[in-house]
Amino acid sequence: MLCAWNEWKMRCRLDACAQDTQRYLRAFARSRFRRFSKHAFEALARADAWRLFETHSAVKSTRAGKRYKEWLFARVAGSPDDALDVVQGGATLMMRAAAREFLRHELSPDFVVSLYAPLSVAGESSGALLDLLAADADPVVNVCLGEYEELARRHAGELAATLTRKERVALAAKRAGRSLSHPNALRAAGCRKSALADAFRHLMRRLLDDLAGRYPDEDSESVLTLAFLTFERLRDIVPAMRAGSDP
Amino acid sequence: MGQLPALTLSPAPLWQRRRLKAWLAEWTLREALAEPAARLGAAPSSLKLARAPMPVAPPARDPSPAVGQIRLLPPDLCDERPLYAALLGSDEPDVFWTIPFGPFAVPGLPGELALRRAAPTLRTMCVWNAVCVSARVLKRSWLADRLSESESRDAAALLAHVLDEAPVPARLARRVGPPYWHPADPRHAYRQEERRLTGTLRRQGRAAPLRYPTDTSVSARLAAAEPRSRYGRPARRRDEKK
Repeated sequence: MLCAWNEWKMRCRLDACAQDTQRYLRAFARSRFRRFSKHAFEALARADAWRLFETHSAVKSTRAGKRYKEWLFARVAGSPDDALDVVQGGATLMMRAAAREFLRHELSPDFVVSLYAPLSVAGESSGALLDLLAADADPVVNVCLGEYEELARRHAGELAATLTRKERVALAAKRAGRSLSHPNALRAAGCRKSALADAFRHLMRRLLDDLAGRYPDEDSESVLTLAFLTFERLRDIVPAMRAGSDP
Repeated sequence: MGQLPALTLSPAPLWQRRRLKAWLAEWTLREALAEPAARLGAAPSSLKLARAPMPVAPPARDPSPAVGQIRLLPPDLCDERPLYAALLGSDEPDVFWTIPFGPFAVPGLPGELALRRAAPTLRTMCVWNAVCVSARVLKRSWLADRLSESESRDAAALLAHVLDEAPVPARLARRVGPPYWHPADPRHAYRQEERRLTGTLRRQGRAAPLRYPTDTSVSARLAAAEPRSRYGRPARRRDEKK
């Protein structure tokens, strides 16, 4: 069966190959495309999969533009596997990309993807796709942000004075980019990881409740913004209070 | 009771939203088609062909690596897809900045450049993933095409931005990917995947520093907290057509 691939490589295009070769390679491409098309199976089965594969893979119609054939066969030299499997494995990888391109055109999935669709990270909701983009900076916004920053600094200073040891350690670990189960964090806190995680959660709840109580007439997004900034300031303050200690 | 200052932020530019959407569509498809590479090699068992093997053609002789060439890297440098790379000049003789091409039609990261080429494998240049490689390593690659003068100029300008934080020329500002900073952004995973693919190449050369022009300012992060229309409301469509 490797001879079919050899012939195709030698003769440059599939139409110039023997009927058996054409049949074999076309069937091979079709089988791979069937696997990748899944939901679009019916539409893809009507396409000339081999032509899609070659069109997608070639850079130009010249010989230099079809160097991917060299790549396909060069994979054999570095592999202990059967040559046919290696060549067809490489072709399958390329056909997957061709199938993706075909589906992109045929199914226009960018109309299916919504920037407003909810995102889920580790099973928890994390905003929407639109949140992935930053907004343009605005001078007026910057002035407001300055006020938020000032408030956040003040609230963080007040809260820092009331922190327990576990809470301080949890904040210091977060700032250092370590998990709350890090041995140094557990040693410094003198407790188990579940207790340290509880302390961190309790601190976050305390912060939110405190700000919500101070600004009862504000909408929740404004309070959350302030809470976010306060947490950042708090995280900056705490390790400085315990410089040199673990973690 | 205290009062907080009013905070209203303008949304990201329309071109960025559109580009991110197009990129995410491609990424979604790629994820949907993901399959372990080990399972991709087996031949379809129902297909049989009994004939003597034909001799394999001798390898063609390629010109030496040179600035402006687009070369296909050999499988020992990347065997998961035919990886094409453009060569730009470096400060050292016989050493080239090797810029891999990405798998998608639209640039996803700020360091990626859309080339406006028709060939699916040469549409986006991942300048952020550039590696400085000697001609000795690249000699084993195959010459596939050449960059035009304007393509070389644009790639060099973006490389200067990636390497030295030079400003991106205005003409390229909308031909690169949108900024990213959100920890849940799938482009982080994409970046890691592309870095992994070029791992062997980087071990044989010197990679560009990972200096992404991501906006991590407070105002940018707060953009994520901006109130927006609920999904499906007509106001959103009007907003997108601006």
